[in-house]
Amino acid sequence: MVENIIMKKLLYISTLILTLFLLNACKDEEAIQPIAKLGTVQLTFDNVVGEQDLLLDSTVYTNMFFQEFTVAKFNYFISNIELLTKDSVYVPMLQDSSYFLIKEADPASLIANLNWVNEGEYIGMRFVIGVDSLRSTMPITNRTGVLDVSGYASDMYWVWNSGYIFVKLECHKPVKKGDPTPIVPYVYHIGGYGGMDGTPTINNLKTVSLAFPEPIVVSQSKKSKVHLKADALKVISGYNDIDFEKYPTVMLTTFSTKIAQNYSVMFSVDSIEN
Amino acid sequence: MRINKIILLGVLMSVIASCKKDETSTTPVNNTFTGFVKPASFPTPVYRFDYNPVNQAGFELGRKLFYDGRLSRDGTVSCGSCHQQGSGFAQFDHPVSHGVDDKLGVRNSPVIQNMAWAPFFFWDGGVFDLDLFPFAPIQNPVEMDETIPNVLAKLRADSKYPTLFKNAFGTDSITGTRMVQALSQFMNMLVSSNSRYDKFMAGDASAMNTDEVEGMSIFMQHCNRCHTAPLFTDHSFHNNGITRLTDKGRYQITLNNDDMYKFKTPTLRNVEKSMPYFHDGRTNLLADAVNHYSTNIPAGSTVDTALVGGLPLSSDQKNKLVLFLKTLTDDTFLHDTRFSEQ
Repeated sequence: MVENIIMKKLLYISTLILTLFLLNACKDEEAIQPIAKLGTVQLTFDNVVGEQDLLLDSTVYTNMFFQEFTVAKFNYFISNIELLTKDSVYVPMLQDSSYFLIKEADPASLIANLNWVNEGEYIGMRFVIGVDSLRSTMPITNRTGVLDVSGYASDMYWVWNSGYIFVKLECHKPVKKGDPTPIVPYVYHIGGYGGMDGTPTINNLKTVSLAFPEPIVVSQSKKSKVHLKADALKVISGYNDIDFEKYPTVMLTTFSTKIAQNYSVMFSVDSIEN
Repeated sequence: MRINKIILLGVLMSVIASCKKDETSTTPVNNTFTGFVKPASFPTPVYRFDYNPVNQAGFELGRKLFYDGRLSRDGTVSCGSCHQQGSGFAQFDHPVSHGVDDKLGVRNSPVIQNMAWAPFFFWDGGVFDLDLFPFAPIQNPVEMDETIPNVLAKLRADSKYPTLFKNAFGTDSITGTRMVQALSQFMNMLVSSNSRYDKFMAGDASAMNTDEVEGMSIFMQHCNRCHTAPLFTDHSFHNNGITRLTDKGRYQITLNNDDMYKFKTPTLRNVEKSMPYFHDGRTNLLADAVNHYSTNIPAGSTVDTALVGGLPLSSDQKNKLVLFLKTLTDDTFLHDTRFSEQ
């Protein structure tokens, strides 16, 4: 009688285990699930203009030519995020989940969570400004969320020359309240993923490597934070000072590579939080 | 206990069953719908059908969208306005496209046929995926001048569209991605492969007369290099000596000087019906279009070298070329009611 119950229990348990096993086998990502424990790293983006905080359509800033401007829009893509271990090994984050579109006007976009990060210490990171060529040419069904060209990314996509705009900075010449003169815009829409096979085009993808002031310690039990700063002033002055009068609009032209060179240095690590 | 076991067995079975990849059960109810069929003489399509296979409901939704003026700002311009079936889905009588408020585009609206084989769209090839194409004319201020969110809002508010999206994609969610996928399903069905030329090539010697056959051999000698059969395009970009300095063509996409004034080779299928010709729609007569190639085309940094000075064609040869080009007219395609506004 007791044996019978034990047998039944064993059968019950083994069936349960088999069920769980099969359930698990259904998941496609089962094969790549690492055994290590996983934690979350949170990236926050603080957009600034030089030493000042970035406030849209209000604060008046000055470029290297002493030309005044306000900022109307500041958006950028980052992708292909990797964390650097103490042993100087770059660990890629889940590629699918490491595309972020940061828009100054959308506070929710200023926080990016990297999930499924192996526990351990990391001393720096590396990422791409823009959307890599592989993803840029994937079927539209593989470009959802922040990559949806008919949704969140609709103002970050060129429809006449298929490709994402990687960095968009739109400034205005300041006007006094009630001044009826038309807005004078300074517009920088920079993209170009390098083109298709056989037809190379401008490549304004930039890789950024940043060291952390002290290591972040990723663990399952808490969220580590990396506070990043993105300096919009660098877009127009990083390497090449942009004269608003001379270059009021830069989009897909050869000159755009100068701006791309500029934004390659716009990021810095403000602080980390363990 | 027995009941428990049965339940467990049931769970187990259903788990095993759920392991199967979701095979969409959207097999068309109507058996007459053939779906996309590759003509035997055509190469493998480049369109990624795995991600967006054609089904009847998607095709019909795409057709409705194609002919729906609500895709434009003021409701007056649909895709079908500038892409009319009778001209192989190009636009009659307009050298360049006509948009809302009678605004003029800068280029001749091209035919829509055999899209599944096209690796590039637009005269300059700026778009590389059919699914991405509709976003451009919808948002172009001189074409449909509308925003995607507005279009989606109009479709969502409609009494019929939610059901049509559900039939095509499984749920009634109306997204930009689904909208363009449905349009692609419609456009991918626009296959023209039943011209007299095709019948001749398939073995029906009576489908073309001797002049036309002679025209074909002249064509193969001089024109097929770029207008490569059976699609009658090499999907590449050339400067054929037709330039307007304001339109730099492929250069505007690649910013490569070698691409200056180059335009995509248009297919010649249904060319008899798709006048006007060339990217700026400068001529309405097929004979004039053919004649351009035997004029003294001046050399230029990117002008196709084989065309410089013009092709050595007699007027008899040119006449026969025109006769041959007319054998590429596919009446079945041009009058197929499945492709017409319903």
